Amino acid sequence: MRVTANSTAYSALYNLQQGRKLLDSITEKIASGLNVNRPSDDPVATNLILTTNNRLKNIEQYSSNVTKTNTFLNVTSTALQGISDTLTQAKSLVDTITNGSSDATTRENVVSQLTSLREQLVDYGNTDYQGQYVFSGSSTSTKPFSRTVGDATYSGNTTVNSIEIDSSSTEDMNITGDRVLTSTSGVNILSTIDNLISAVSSNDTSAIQAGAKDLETGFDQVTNLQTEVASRLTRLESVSSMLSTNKSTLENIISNTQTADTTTLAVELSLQETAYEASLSATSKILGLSLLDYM
Amino acid sequence: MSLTSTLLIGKSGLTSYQAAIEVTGENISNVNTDGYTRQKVVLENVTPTTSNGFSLGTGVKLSSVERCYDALMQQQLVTASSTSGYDSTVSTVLQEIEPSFNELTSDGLGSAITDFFQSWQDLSTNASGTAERQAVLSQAQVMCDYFNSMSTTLSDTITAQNTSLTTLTEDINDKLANIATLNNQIKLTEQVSGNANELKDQRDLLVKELAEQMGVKYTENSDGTTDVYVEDSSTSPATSYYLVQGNDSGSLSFSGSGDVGITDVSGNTTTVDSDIYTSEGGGTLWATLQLRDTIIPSYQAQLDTLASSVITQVNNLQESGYDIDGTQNSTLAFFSGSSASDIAVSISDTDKIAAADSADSAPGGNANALAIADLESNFTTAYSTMVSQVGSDVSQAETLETQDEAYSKQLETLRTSNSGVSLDEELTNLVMYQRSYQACAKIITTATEMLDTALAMVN
Repeated sequence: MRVTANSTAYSALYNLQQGRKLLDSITEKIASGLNVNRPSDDPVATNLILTTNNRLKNIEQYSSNVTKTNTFLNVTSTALQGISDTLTQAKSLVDTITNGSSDATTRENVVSQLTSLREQLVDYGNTDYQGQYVFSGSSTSTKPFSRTVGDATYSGNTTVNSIEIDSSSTEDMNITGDRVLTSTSGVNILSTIDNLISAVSSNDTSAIQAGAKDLETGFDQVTNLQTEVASRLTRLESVSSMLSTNKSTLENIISNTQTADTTTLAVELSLQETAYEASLSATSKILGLSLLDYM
Repeated sequence: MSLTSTLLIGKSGLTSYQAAIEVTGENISNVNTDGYTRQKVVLENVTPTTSNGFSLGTGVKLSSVERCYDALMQQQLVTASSTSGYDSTVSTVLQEIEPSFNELTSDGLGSAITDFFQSWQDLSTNASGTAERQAVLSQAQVMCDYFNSMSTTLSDTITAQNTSLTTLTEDINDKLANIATLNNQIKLTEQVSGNANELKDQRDLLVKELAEQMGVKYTENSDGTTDVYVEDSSTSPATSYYLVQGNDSGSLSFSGSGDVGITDVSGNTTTVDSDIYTSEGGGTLWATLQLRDTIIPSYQAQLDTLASSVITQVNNLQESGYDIDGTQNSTLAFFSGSSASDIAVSISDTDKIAAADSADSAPGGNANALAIADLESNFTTAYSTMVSQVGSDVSQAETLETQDEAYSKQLETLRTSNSGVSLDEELTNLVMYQRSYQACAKIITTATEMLDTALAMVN
């Protein structure tokens, strides 16, 4: 095969170009810190990276949902604690008068204390968070309970909002007020207090005793709700730690596929540099050769 | 055998070697000319005469100036040009589109889609919150902007193909006319037994360049001309459309959009389509048509499908849900439009966003918001798949281009090996011919001296 000076020159140019391309791609990886700089660099890895990034974003969203739900449930828990404390006060107050009292002043005193405890219960029941009533179901703009003695109705609705805390896994966010102060299946605490107020006023001993018993049941009812909220909070905590474990696993995948290994790349770069320099120097020597120099 | 004939032998040497040096000079000066084929002098001894009972030659003559041309190699080069023209065009255009789909280094449509659906998640945690509702609308706007801009990029790329087709067809027509003109000159030169080597080089180079622009077949005729044609293989037997035949040339026509028409030398017409180019060897012309009519529209269709399913699915839920006042707005769509190019947010009142799934659960009910948020995975997966498909198309096109480059380089080396000018060789020839010329001159001086000696004897 005849080899001409021009074909040597073309080959040299082609090979130098190939070397330069390799150098360029290594430099790009080092500079950007990424292994895959465009989808065509590695279509399969691209799909993995995009899917993983998307899952990471979802996990961040779920974590944010968990945090928000957590705050909301803490507000709920505080209100329930307040209700439970108020009920304890009401119980000990009623205990002082279980057998009635002939003294009208004592009775009046108890009635006025019961009335203010009722107001306190309603205030806890009307707790709001970010301008929205916590116990009114999804009628967040409607005040669920009334401070008027005798009005023991619930104005909210029974909708329970659930929040996604992981893909296809939800947690209930709110406790509706009808389960707290105006239960229809258990004890309606507000009407119990209303009844107690009228029983104490009329010194109706049996009604007072019945009311005291209802208060006890009502107290247990609230304690159960507190336990429910506490267990939701526990679940959120475990979900939250699971989410962060998942997050670090996914971040590992990203770092394995997408983050450039600078050490390896640096070694590759220096190898490639040596090869490129060698071909440059060989090329310059060969291209300089000509019969003309010897004629 | 006289001394005069010795003089004539010397003279024939001088003339021949002068011509040989001329050819060498031509070779050296064209060492860098594209498509130039090295020429070789073929010397031959002149018919011998009988002298003193011996047969003796009467000098040397230049029999021909040969072109070191390999027809098979030329055929391979032309075919390789067509493939490389196709592959490099596809690769270049796809690489221009790829940045729009590059989710890896910057946020694009994919993250806009995720953000939009996550804003519904945020809304679900506080369904009556104005800030959350506003966020849904702004994320929707961002997503629509991305859809619109990607759709514009793709349709701009399609328009750009039409622009390049216009210049491409003009260029091809020029080449066809030039090939025909050169054919004519070659034929005329060869008829008077002249040397048309340089014209043939120019013509062959043009055919090769033409093949890169549009895949063609050609035949070399005995009169030195080359016919260029394309074949419609859908008919049996295949119909040939001659673009150049002898000194006649056909032409391509393109009106700025639509098909590219072919008019052959006899006035028959056809269009450039898959009947003519069944494989990818159709050069830049076929690549541009494929990009314009098939490759980019398929991306556009995928993007439109994605946009239209976002529109339909979100609208369905929005229309069946209940807004902040517990009203069902069954005719108020969330998005207007039907494709990536015209998708837009049609809701402007944040209160009308349907987060609740029943009138009773308004304003704080979040069931509908959750249902919309749950649509996310359908779209993000579809989009990721689309991105990696574009990536793999580009990567495949780049690989083909690299292979073509390597193959062309290989063929070019082989061609140079046979037809390329080697300076070392020419310089050696130059010295050789110069020495031979000197030697022939010496024959003449010697013969002259002998003649002088002979004449002196007479005197």
